[in-house]
Amino acid sequence: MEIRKILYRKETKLVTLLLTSLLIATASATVYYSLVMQSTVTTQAPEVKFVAGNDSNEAGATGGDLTDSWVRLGSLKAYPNVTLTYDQAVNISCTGANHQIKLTHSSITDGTDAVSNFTSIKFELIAANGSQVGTDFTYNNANGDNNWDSTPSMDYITIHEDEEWSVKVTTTAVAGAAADQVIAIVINLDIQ
Amino acid sequence: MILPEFFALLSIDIFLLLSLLTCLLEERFPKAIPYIYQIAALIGFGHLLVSREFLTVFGEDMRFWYNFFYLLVALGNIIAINLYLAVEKKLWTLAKAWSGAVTFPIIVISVFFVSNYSFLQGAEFPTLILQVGLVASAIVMGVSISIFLSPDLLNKLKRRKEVNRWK
Repeated sequence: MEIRKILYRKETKLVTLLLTSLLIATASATVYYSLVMQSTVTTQAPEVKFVAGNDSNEAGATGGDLTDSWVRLGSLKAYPNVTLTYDQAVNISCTGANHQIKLTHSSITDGTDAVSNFTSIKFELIAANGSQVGTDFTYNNANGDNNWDSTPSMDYITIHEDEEWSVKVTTTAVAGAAADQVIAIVINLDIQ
Repeated sequence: MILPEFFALLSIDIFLLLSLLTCLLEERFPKAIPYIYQIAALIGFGHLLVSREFLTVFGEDMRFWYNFFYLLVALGNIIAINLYLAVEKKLWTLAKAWSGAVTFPIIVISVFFVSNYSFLQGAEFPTLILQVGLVASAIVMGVSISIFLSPDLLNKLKRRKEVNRWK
C-alpha cells in the first residue's frame, strides 16, 4: 500500500517526468548535433582553371570546353634538331581569390626507345606581361638514352585574382629522331 | 546555420515543457495528458532519427516542411491548453498567466527562429512581421511593467468600466 501511495504521489510523477524529459532532450540534442556535424560537399566551378591560349588549337588542347580543371594537349610536336615553342599551349586563369599554384610531375613514358628521340620537353609559366614566373619544369634526356634524367619539380607561386598565365611548352628532339615516337606526360596543377 | 531539424528540437522541448507543466497543474487536466506529451516528444525524437538516416534522400524543402508542421502541432497544443483553461475550465487568471508566461514567449521565440531560418535560406518573411512582433512585445512588456509596479491599476480600470456601464 505504502509503495503504491508513493508511486501515485505528485512529486514522484514529477521527478519521473523530469528524468525522462532530460533523457529525451539530451538524446534529441545529441542527434541534432550529429546532424550539424555532417559535412556536405557542394560542386562549383573551379576558381583556378584552364582556358584556351593562342596556341591551344595547334597544341590540340581538349577538355571541358577548356573551362575545366583538366586539359589534354594531344598534338604537341617535336621536330628533329629543332626547338619548337608553343607560347600559349594553354592558359591558367584565376577568377577567385589569390591562390598558390605549381606544376607537379605525375607520370611520363620512361624506359622505352621513344625516349631516346627527345632531348627535352620544357614547361614554363608565363605571366601576362611576358615574364616567366617560377622555375622551369623540364624533362631532360641529355645523354640520349631510354630514360629521362630526372623528374622536374617546382615551388608554389602566387597567382592573383583575375590573372591569367600561359603555359609555354618547348620541345626539342634529337637530330636523327624517328617519326611517330610518342611520349605521354601527365602533369598535375596543384592549387592551394 | 540552422538546420530544419532545429524546429523538431524546439518542438520536442515545447512538448517536454508542456508535460511538466501539466503534471504540476494535474488537478486541472486529465491525468494522461503529461504522459501523452512525453510520447509526443518521443515521436519528435524518432523524427530526428529518421531525418538523420535519410538526410541525403530528403530534400531541404521536404525536411523544412515536416519539421515546421511538427512545430505547428506543438504551438497548437500550447494555444489549445490556453483555450482549455480559459473556456472549458473558466480559470481566467491561470489562462492569463499561461498566455503571458508560456504561449506568448514561445510563439515569439518560434517566429524568431523561423524568420531567421527563412532569411538564411534566402526566402525572407515580410519585414512587417518583425516590426509587428517588436511592437507587440513592447506593448506586452509595457503593460506588464505598469501592472507590476502598480497592481491597483487593473482595479481602477475595472471600476471605470463598471461606472461607464451604469451610465
